[in-house]
Amino acid sequence: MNNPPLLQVRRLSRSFDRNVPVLRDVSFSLTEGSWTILAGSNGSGKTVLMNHLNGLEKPDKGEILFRGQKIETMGDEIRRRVGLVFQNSDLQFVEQTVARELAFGPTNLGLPRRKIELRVQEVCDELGLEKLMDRRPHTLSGGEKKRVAIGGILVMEPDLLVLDEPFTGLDWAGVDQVLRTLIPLHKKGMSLLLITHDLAKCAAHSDRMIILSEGRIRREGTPEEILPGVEEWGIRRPEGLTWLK
Amino acid sequence: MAEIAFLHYRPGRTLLHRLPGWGKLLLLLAVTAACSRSALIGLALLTALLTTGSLVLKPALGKMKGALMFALIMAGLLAFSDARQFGFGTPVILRAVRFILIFWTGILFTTAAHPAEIGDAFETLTRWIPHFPARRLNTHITLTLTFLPLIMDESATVDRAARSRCFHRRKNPLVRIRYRVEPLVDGVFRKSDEISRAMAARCY
Repeated sequence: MNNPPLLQVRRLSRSFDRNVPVLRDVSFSLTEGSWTILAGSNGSGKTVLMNHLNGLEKPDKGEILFRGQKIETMGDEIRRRVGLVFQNSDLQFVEQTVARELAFGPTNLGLPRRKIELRVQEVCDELGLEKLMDRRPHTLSGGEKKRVAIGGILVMEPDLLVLDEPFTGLDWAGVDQVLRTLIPLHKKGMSLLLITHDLAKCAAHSDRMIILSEGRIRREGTPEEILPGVEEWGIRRPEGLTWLK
Repeated sequence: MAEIAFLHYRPGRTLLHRLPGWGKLLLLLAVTAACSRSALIGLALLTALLTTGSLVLKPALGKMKGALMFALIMAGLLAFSDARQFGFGTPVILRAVRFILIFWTGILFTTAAHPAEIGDAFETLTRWIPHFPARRLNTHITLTLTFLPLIMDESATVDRAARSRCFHRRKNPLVRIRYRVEPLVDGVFRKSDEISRAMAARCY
């Protein structure tokens, strides 16, 4: 028997106030170890969709399954399994030092102090955050902030890392830092879902691409299949796939 | 995609929407004055009026849980403070009800009046007063009403990011308050710093 996909979104619909539909009948699935890009122009519903993936928002219709299990039956476990990195890192930070920021999630999970310290140290080593541990997260550069935000999720040992517009507002060095963080994670088997409209920086690394427009999935396939027609959906087609590749 | 939340203006074509800004402001003052002076029957009529207004304007109450909780706590504190001074009775309850009705009026008013419209209306109604800084206050009102909802939105995002890392498992109320208030205050100061710099750069 085949293993179920890592994450399955089935016919998800969501409307906000006054029945403004934001997501309409959205279905897709993610496989273990994949690097998927969910692309769409501004206002296409990408962030709202992200908020549903670990149960922060409840859909009006449809369901999400994690390894075949409905996420609403998983309690807090789904928050640990599917880690969300928000677009604005500043809004994700709640602590006054990077070390405490990294420990925030595991502390919420009620892990023993020794285990928290161990996890924080592992992530610190993995992402090269040693020199930043005593700094205030809000005072870091854009790339450093994003790495700390990713670290704050990695300490919870997720199986799927979802990043919302991870390159927004970053200079070349910042983008470089983020990619150099994500590529080794993917090589180690971490599943990634990048939500972005900026394909140039990440398309070269992805193995699957999904186009979301006006709350609907319009195209799904490999980057080679999808990229030639992306401008139809208001997304800039990258000229070359050269970023760190 | 933005969600409609507390203090957000929502475009519409209701009677209240179509009133000129100064008319809305005068109506707000009149209803607020009525709320603060009315007795039981008056308050019942005002409740009926505000209920009708809510049905027409449909403010996103579901997205205002925090603000509504705040109003209820404030009303409770008001009643508690009055009860200690005068003893518990109808006047104490009426004062708490008045507070809630005034809060409710404010929600409906901001739902139907654009921030710039409110500022302009204030300036229209007060510019005849000699030496009164109507223009400057107009800017302050507009800025406050524009940025308050943005701060509330930011607060919602902070909350969502914290819940994503299982913050809701923390049971200690002091810890919960700390992790809600600290990032919000931090964000407000950073944002106000940015705004004041942007205004200074344009010679405000």
